[in-house]
Amino acid sequence: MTTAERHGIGKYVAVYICLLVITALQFVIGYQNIQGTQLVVRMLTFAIIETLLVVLFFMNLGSEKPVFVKFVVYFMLFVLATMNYIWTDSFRLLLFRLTKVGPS
Amino acid sequence: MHDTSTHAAAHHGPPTSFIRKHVFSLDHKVIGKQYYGLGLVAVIIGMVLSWVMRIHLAWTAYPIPGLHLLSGTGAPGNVMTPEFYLQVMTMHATFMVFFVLTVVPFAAFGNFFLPIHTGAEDMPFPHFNMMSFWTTFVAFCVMLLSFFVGDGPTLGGWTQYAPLSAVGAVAGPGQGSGVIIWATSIAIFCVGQLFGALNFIPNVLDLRCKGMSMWRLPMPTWAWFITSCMGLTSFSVLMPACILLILDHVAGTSFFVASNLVINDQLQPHSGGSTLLWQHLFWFFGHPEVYIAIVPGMGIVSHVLITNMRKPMLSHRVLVYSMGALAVLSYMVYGHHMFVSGMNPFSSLVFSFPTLLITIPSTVIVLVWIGSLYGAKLRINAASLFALGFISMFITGGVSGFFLAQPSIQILLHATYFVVAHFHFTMAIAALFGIFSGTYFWFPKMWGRMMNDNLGKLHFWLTFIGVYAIFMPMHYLGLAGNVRRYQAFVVDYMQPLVGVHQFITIAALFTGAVQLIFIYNFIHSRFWGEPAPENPWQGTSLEWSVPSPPPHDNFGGKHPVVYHDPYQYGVQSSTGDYLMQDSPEQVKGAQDEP
Amino acid sequence: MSEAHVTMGAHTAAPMEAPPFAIPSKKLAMWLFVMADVMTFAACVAAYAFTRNATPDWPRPFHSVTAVAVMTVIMLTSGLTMLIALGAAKAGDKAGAFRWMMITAVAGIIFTLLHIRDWMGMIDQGVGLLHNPWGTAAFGASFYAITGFSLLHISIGTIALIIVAIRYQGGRYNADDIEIVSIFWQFVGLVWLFIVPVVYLMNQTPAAR
Ligand code: HEM
Ligand SMILES: [Cu+2]
Repeated sequence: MTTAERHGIGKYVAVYICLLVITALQFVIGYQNIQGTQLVVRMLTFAIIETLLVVLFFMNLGSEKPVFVKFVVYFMLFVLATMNYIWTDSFRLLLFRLTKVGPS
Repeated sequence: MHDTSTHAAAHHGPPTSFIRKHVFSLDHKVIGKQYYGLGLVAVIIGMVLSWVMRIHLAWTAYPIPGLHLLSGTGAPGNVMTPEFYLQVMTMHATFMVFFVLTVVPFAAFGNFFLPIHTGAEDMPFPHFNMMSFWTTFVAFCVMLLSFFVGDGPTLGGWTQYAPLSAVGAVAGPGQGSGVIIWATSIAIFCVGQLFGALNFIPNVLDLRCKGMSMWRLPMPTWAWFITSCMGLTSFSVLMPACILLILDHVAGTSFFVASNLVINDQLQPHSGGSTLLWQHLFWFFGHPEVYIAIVPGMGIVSHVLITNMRKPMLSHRVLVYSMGALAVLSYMVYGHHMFVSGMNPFSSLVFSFPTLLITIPSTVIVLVWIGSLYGAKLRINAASLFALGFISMFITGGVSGFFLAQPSIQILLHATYFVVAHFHFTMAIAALFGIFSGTYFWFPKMWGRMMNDNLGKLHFWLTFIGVYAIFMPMHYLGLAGNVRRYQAFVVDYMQPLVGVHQFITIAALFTGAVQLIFIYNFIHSRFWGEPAPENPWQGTSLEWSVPSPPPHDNFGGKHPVVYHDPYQYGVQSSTGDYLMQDSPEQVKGAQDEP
Repeated sequence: MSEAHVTMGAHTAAPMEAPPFAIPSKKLAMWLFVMADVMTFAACVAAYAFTRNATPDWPRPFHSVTAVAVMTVIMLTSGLTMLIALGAAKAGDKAGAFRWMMITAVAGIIFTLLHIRDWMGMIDQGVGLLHNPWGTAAFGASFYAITGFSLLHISIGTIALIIVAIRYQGGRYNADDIEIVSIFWQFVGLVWLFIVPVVYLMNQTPAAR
């Protein structure tokens, strides 16, 4: 590796190792006897940390102007949040199915 | 990264061959006109289909000459079968919503004027821009194709509700290949609009000429900017939804179909899906879509009114903020289309709150318009009349929105003609009036000739009366319980309403015929109209500082520099009562906040 | 990327307003595309999550996820090599940038092949869009829909990498273009990082207690 290539790579390698470790943790959780909400919460927490790392460092959003970071982050968080209206119906459907009434 | 490269201005020489000039053109102005032409063809198709429906609704057994040409089996003896009625209705709505109301105010006018408004020579990515039009064109052709393939187009309505849209031919004619073609076409359309948004947003942010700060952008450009932000994240949800729908069809998966469904006496093999899922995904796109259709119209109407009032609006910024609020809220309200669909009643409660909230920015926009109009000496011409008409339609439609926003009232009104009236006033007619207003206003710039204003005024008055005659009685029909998406009203309680339907049909045929005035005016002016001066309306924004029609690079090799806010009217300058944005002159009373 | 021949700011630079985000338009467009794509994936995942949550007897059939672990390591590593290529390009090391991009592309190809192998294995076990040995049909459908979408992105990304690398070598593209394709590549990697927990690990057979 030439010096030019090595320039600034240290940070990325650190992030890379973090990502590997977090993914490994996820695999460990996957093998354990964890179910339901607990499983979702743990998996998603780790996935969100990974997202932060990738977006900020690998995609280099962190070094853009703050106004751009805000544009991307607020925009995405907002539209993704509005997607979560689906849950009320998903849980209701589950209830129907567990109690064997209503649509299946 | 070099500093200059932030300005990805696109520079391509003027084309020489015919194909490059008029067909696969990279010029945003040609692409804008191509979109306009596509919209014109689509609106004529959509209108003819609506006549066919209206005649059938009023005189069910009356044969419509030539109808059998549209369908092999759907119109024996030129009288529609019930299924064919629904197919025609679906195609009417699809062409209108996607290929007229999305294409013309946003893609056509936006392509032509957005780069000129920002002082750019072209869009940042002309090749993507060209692809945007041609993908949309392919989508259009695919949709047309469905008339001639299999047993015709789908009959599922523009919302294409599952499960009937997902189980295939067993659900009726057109539900086999028709739905697949529909979903394919719409998925392609989504890609085309994505390309459009990817050009519009960088253009507004990066390609503004010297002095053109964001707040100096004219209203339509703000509107197109906000609309592209909406399009970016709503079309990209409809696209995968369509693909999942196609999977349900072609591969037999059950994303949108529940278990143990019996359709047409046949037990369906599907299991485990949910019809509500489709509605969630569809309306996640669908409600932003209706604002994609209307917000550009709001921008155009503001632009036209300001120019003809010769004074700025009460507040430029409040208008922009309100349009932004509409965009934000439009993502939060989509469930109001599902109040009675079997959605969790708790969500109805949750959705009705932002739905009532969204009336606030709408009302603010209307109040700013009316407050500004108050005491103004409005020049009356075809463009300003259609702008006033837009406001009228928007208010009428908005008022019915208040009623529909409440779940308890909607239980009665859902799927009746009340809803038909509501969305035709708000989305369809208001947006169409925006299109007309923009056409009369910008025709000189787009085609270099003036339109006949007297014919335009005549067109306005007859259309205005006509659409109220069509859609006002529909409120009454809806309150009387007349259901929507029915092909004939033979049930006892609806029988007495047929007279109203006959009145509406006559009004619809009349209003449709009136559009011939517009078409004549359009074609005649295009070729034989008076040559247009550079600035026929004494406007101030940049499109009026260039020849009509503008040269290939918009500004003839010059780089425009902007010194003023977009709407400097009612001032004393050397040119009269207005000050062009690119005029370096300083006059008293001009507001030049940076 | 087809716009490269359009001279970017190379001609007598017109005086312009400063862009608020201070990034090149092409990069902005890539970010906007990524934002749209996030919603496309979100819609697919929403369909899966909706169905899965509402299905009481959703199976958790995966016993061994070694292949997925290997694929994840390859994907993560390719993200790093992409960044090395970008760093080299920015430092003006043309040969290095080209080499590291090609390494990234090879990683992409290996990943794609492993992914296809994974699919073949699933198909061998009888997992189809409509049927699978474990229960609800929705399992196979959503599995293939989500991973298929991701696979499509990864293969397109690999092709894009190769094209950009070659054009960069030929002098038509510069470091800015590599940065743009890098953003896309990191994004598809990120999608994979979501697919692993959501599609694979949550369907992992829990250890016997
Ligand atoms: C004043 C604010 C508004 C409110 C509170 C409102 C509320 C509603 C509600 C509750 C429905 C559902 C009716 C039903 O299906 O039973 C509806 C339907 C609809 N609205 Fe609005 N609306 C408003 C403005 C608009 C605007 C501005 C547009 C278009 C530009 C629009 C377009 C539509 C369309 C197209 C439908 C019918 C969709 C279909 O079923 O095919 N609305 N509106
Ligand atoms: Cu709505």
